[in-house]
Amino acid sequence: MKTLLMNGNPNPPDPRFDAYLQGLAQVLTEQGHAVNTLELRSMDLRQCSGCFDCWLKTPGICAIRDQHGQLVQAYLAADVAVFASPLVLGFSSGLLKRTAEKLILTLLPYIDASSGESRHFPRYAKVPRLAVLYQDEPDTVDDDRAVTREIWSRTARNANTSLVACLSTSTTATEVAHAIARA
Amino acid sequence: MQLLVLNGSPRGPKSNTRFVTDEFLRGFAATPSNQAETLDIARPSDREKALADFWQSETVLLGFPLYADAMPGMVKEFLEQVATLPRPQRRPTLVFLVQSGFPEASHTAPVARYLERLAGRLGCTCAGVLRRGGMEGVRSEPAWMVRGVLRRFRRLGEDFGRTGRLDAQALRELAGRERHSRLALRLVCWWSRVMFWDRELKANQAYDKRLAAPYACQ
Repeated sequence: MKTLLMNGNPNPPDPRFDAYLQGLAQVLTEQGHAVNTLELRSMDLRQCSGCFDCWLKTPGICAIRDQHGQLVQAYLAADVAVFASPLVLGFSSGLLKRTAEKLILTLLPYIDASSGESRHFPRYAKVPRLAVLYQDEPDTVDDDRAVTREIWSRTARNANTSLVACLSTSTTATEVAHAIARA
Repeated sequence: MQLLVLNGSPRGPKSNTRFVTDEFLRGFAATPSNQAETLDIARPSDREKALADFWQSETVLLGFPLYADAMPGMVKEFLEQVATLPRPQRRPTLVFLVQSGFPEASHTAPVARYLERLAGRLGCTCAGVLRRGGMEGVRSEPAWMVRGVLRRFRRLGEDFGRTGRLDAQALRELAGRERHSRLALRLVCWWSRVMFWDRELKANQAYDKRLAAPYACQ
């Protein structure tokens, strides 16, 4: 199974989180999975400007000349794409959020009403399943975890896929690897 | 009352978000002693000023479009930076505005729950979250189509400017239905395709490439 780990640890990074992800990548590799890690803070991924060129002018391609191509190729090649970052102010990092928005070019502008709730049709036949990994803040409570899960569940639904896991780094890397591999 | 309006749309001043925060401000200004300023955080100079003014403000309205089911990344990054600044004893009251292209209110509900928690985390009172779907065309649609919704934003601004509060019932009415009937939804989807997406694609000579999949795995 191909796993993409998108490391949204912001700048300056929390070294504990990077260390955890390295451990997770190692466990997945030992289990025979192909792991691709993208360190988002080192990539040039600029804020989606809402220009809609990726829908209406150059379908499927972002107008901003940054490294979105590398991100999108890695995403589409994966069986499971993991959005990972420490929680900051009770939710995933802005860096990770900005990255997730770059993926709207994997959707079509047209809206699918068939489920009774709107979402865009997919541009690609195969989309990875999503997982979310986060690190608690000192004051994180269950309501923060619930709202984080809820928002990412919506993102998965609206990306025509499913959220297979939303776990904290208090879970062992082995357990996280199992949850991802089960998907 | 003093109000700092922060437009969190990556499109900046020419955005649907700014269009409706301006309408809210028209209502807010009906109370003569009220003072307000709007900053577009997509503009670097405005962003710097917003960071400097945030904690000094009496009230802050932060508006943004729904991007991938929550706030745009740049808004989250702005808030992360705000949280690192020294906080005064007296904290601003926060109001949020979330507008989405999708018509149903179900899309904006999770981030609204987040925003209420965020206010508490920053030690601020949240006076309310204004939510509204179906807003992608609000700047470009004919006046008769948007008159009703703009009036709602103006009235909410007027009430807030007078009382410092937002009426829960008025907020529910602004947000509208959590879900629409299948028939209504199909009609909206068809309408957006014919009247907007396909027209634009054809005008851009991109209609033939509309289903292109340039990053498909080999």
